[in-house]
Formats: sequence, C-alpha cells, structure tokens
Amino acid sequence: MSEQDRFDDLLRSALGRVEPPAGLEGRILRAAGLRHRTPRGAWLRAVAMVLIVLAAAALGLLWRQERARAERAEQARRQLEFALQLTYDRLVKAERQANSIGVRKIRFEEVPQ
Amino acid sequence: MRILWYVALGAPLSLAAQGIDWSVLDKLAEKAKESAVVNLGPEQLSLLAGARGKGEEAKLGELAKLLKSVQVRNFEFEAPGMYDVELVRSLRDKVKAGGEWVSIVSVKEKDGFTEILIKKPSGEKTGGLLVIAAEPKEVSVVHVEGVADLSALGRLGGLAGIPEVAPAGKKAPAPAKEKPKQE
Amino acid sequence: MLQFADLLREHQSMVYSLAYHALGDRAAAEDLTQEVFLALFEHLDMLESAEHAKAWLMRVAANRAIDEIRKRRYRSGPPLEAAEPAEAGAQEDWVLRAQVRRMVAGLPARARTMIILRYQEDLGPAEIARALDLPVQTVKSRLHRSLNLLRGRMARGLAGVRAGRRA
Repeated sequence: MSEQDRFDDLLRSALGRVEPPAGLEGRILRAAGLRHRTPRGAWLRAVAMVLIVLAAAALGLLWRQERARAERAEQARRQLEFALQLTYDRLVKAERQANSIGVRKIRFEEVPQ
Repeated sequence: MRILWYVALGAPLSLAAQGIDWSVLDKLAEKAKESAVVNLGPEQLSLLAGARGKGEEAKLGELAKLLKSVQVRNFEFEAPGMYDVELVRSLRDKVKAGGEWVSIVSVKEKDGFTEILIKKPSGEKTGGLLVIAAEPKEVSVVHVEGVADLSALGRLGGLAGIPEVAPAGKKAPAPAKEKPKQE
Repeated sequence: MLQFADLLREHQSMVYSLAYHALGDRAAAEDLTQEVFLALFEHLDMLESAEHAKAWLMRVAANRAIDEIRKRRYRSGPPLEAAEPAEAGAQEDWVLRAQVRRMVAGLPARARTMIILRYQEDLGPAEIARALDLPVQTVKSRLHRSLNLLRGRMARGLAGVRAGRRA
C-alpha cells in the first residue's frame, strides 16, 4: 500500500460518517410537523373563526329580521282585528237602532240615492 | 287621560283617491281623549296573508289576502259636544257625492248618525266598505278596501270577538269593544 | 411523491456527519442538520427524485456548513469522540483519527468542506464542484493544495503522537 493510499485511508477513516444522536430524527420530524401545522393551522383557524363570526352574524341578522317581521305581523293582526271589531260594532249598533224603530231586518242592499 | 294610539304602517294610503277627505278627521284628533289610527297597506296585509296557523290566524290570513288596505280612525271624547258632528257629516256627504260609494245602511239619530257604504269593483278599481259613525262622544270611520260586500266579512265569525256577522239581520250580542293597547 | 420521513431516515447520517466534521460540535451539527432537513421539507415539492433530493441535501448542507464555519470562525478544536477506545491499537487509531480531524478542522471553510465531501462521501472533484457550485478545476486545485497541506501537517503531527506514545 502506497503512502498516498494510506493517507487516503486515514482520511476516510477519520472523516467517515458518524451516527446522529438517537433523538435527532424525531426532533426533526416534530419540528417539520409543527412547521407544517402552524401556518396552515393558524390560517385555517383564522378562516374558521371568520366563518363562525359571519355565520353567527348572519343568523343573528336573520333572527332579528324574522323577529321584526313577526312583530310587524302581530301589530298588523291586532290592527286588522280592531278594524273588524269596530266595523262589527257599528253594524250591530245600526241594526239595533233599526230594530228600535220597528225595522225587523236590515237587508244589506244598496239604498237608492 | 288622553291616549294617542297611533300606528301608521307603510305608505300612507291615498284616501283622497277613494273619495274620502281624511284631513277632516285629523282635526278631530286634537280634541279627542283617545285616538286610534290604523293604516294597513298591502305590505302589512301580506304579512298576515303569509301567516300560517289554524283557526283565527288562518281566517285572518284568508281575509288579508282579499284586502288591499284598511284604514281606521276612531276618536273618543270626554263629553258630548266636544267635536262638530257637522264635520263628519260633511265628510259623509262628500263621499256620497263622489258617486262611487253607495249607502247600504243609513241610521240617523238626534246627536249623530251611522252610515255604511260600499263601493262595487269596476274595471281596475277595487271594491270597498266604508263605515262612518258619529256619536255624541265617539267618531269612528273604517275603510276596508278589497271587499265590496259584507259576505266577505261574514266569513269572520269567531274573529276578534265577532260571533257572526249577520247580513240578514240576525241578532248577535255585541262584544265588549277592546281597543288595542298601546305598545 | 417523495416522503420526507424516508429521506430523513436515509440521509440524516450524511448531513449530520458533514456538519459534525465541518463544525466539530455535536450540538451545532444537530442544529444544522435540523435546519437542512426543515429546508428540505419546505422544498419537497420541487424535488423530482430521490437522487435529486440527495444532491440537494448535500449541496445545502455543504453550503450551510461553510456559512456556519465562517460565522463561527471554526478554525481549530478537534471533534471529540464519545468515548476513548480501551485497547492500545485502537487507542492509536483513535488518536490518529482525532489528529486528522483536528487538522481538517484547521483548514479554511471551503477547503475543509471539499475534503469532507471527498473523504466522507467519496465524491470526485466534479461532484464536489456541483455541490459547491464551483468550477471543477478550482476544486481540483483546492483539493490538491489542501491535501498537501494536510499531509505535511500530518507527518509532523504523527511524529509527535508516536514520540508521545514512546515516552
């Protein structure tokens, strides 16, 4: 074996591969997983939060609109009932007055002008 | 105590177009102890027409589908003579003079009158029912646009304390009138 | 599709060794190895094959090692073995290897990395040139110069070791 060969062998032996510590692979995998998850996870969480807030706002708005509509409908119902009741009262009263002067029946027909 | 119950919903309806000078009645509101004003337009009536339910609600919904608008003015006064009955009478006369409205009931009393008028639908004009009543301490005007006879209202038996509208003059006990309470 | 875990398992020894020989510090070598593999993780989509990934890892590890050497000015300080061999023959080999690593560690950053790639990974000048993005001729001449330097230092150093053992 020449001097050159011995020198090369010595270098190969001195600079040969060394085994990395046992925990290094796991540590790198964890770091990669964390790096993988953090930005995307954070982004997804942010998107999810925005969607939840928007959905809640939309639901809230729909609920308020529906409640306002129901309130308006209830008001309208009371007013229509009031109008009908008033009409009915006047009809009954008119009939009673007619009865008092001897008219037995009111026929709801046109009165000649 | 003077209570003003005033709910004007939707666009004010052009009562002048129906031959009713509503401004005459507005003058009475200032002197009234209690005022009730109802203006139901198509939008409000459609809310009722869309209501799903049974019994009374369903009946009201059915009626609301027929109606175009409902206006009510009801004024109660502290004492007789607090308003000029001639104002109401002139209103009635103007309506009748317009030719569109036809009186079907006209009751004259010493201190007032009750007039029930109908307007038959013709062409694009819808029919209507108008009640004008003047009493010593109360004035009531009800205008229902969309029905031209009492038979439509006759379907309201059981509604709003109405036992049965009896066009043939059947007697039915008058329910105690309850005004909608202030919200 | 390349699997990161597979590439890590297969090449961690190469990257870690390169870093360890270049920096002479286990903790620093671990950090550099992690950095290199995290960079691989970010660029995984761009790598077409296992060979491409290996070449990429070698290039990135070598260049980062050079940067780190320059940053830390690692010029001396031998890498330490975990434990000394007990037998006399093994003892001599261990001392020799340690001497060699110390000498390699004394080389300038780029020359040091060339020697490591040459003897750790058994790369030829052309492959080293590709890894370090240098002309082949430059690599050849730098290798030649570095090896001569090492040979001279080693001759002096080995004489010292043998003399020490005799004493």
